[in-house]
Amino acid sequence: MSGELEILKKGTIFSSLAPADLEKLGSILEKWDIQEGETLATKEERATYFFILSSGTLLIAMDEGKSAVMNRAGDFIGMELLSSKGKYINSVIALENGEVLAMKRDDFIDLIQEDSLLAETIMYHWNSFLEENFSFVAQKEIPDTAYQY
Amino acid sequence: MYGLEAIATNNGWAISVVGVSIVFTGLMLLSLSISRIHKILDLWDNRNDIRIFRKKTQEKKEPVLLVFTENNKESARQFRLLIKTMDDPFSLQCLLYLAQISGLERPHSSLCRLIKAGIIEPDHQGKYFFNREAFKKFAS
Repeated sequence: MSGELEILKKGTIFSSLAPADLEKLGSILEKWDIQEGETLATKEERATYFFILSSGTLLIAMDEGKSAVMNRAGDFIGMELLSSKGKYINSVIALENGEVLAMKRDDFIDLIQEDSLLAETIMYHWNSFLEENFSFVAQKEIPDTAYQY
Repeated sequence: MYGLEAIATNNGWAISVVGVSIVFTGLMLLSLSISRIHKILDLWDNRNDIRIFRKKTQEKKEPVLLVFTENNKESARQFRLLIKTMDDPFSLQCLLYLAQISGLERPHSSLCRLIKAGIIEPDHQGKYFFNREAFKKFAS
C-alpha cells in the first residue's frame, strides 16, 4: 500500500490530505497495468471506476472533439471530468503502457459522503487542478452536489 | 557605599530598565508568535497552494530527452500529413482515429511520442496544434 500512498502524495489533489485520509483512500485503490491502445472508460457506459495515474499517458476524449492528456503521476481522472449521474461522459484511452490506481466510483462517493471535511478538501484541490490544467472542463456546468458524478 | 546610592552610582537603574525592557520585549514576541501559530500551521498544511512552496516536479515539466529513430521520424511525417488535412487547431481524438484507420504502426504510442516531444501541443481549450519547430528538431 505504501506505493499507492506515494502516488497519491505526488498529485496536487490528494497530497494535502491527512495521513489517516490517505490511508482510507489507499484502501479502496486497485493497481491496474495498462497497455497502449487500451480503453479504460467508454462514454455512455455505466461509470464504475475513477482513476489515478501512476505511470504512462492517458487520453481523455471529450465532446466536440476536445481532448485532455494526462501524463503526470498522481493525476486524477474522475468526477465531472469522467462521469455524470453514474455514466461515463468521456472516454479514457491509454496512449502508452503504464499503471493506474483504479477506485470504484461507488466506494469513492461513499468515502466523501462519510467525511465532509475530506470531501471539502478534495473538491477544493480538484477545482484548482481543473482550473489550472483544464479550464475548458471547469467552464462546463458543474453539478450541484458531489454525488451526481 | 551601599543600597540605593550604590545602585545610582553604578548605573544600576538604567541597567535594570534595559533588562526589564529586553525581558518584556521577548515575552511580547513569544506571545505574539504563539497567538499566530495556528496561521503558520495552516500555511504549512496548505503549502501546496502557494506557488513558491510547490514541488518543482509539479511546477514545470522536466525537459524531455527523446531520441527519434528512423521509424519514429517516418511515423511523425505520416502524422504531419494527417494533421495537414485537419483544421487548426485540430482534435487529438480525430487525429488518433485517422491514424488508426490509415493503418499507421502503433498509432497510440506514436502520438504519445509526438506529444512528449512537443511536436503536438495543447491550445489549452481542448484542441491541439502542430509545432513545426519541434518537428524540425526531432523528426526532419
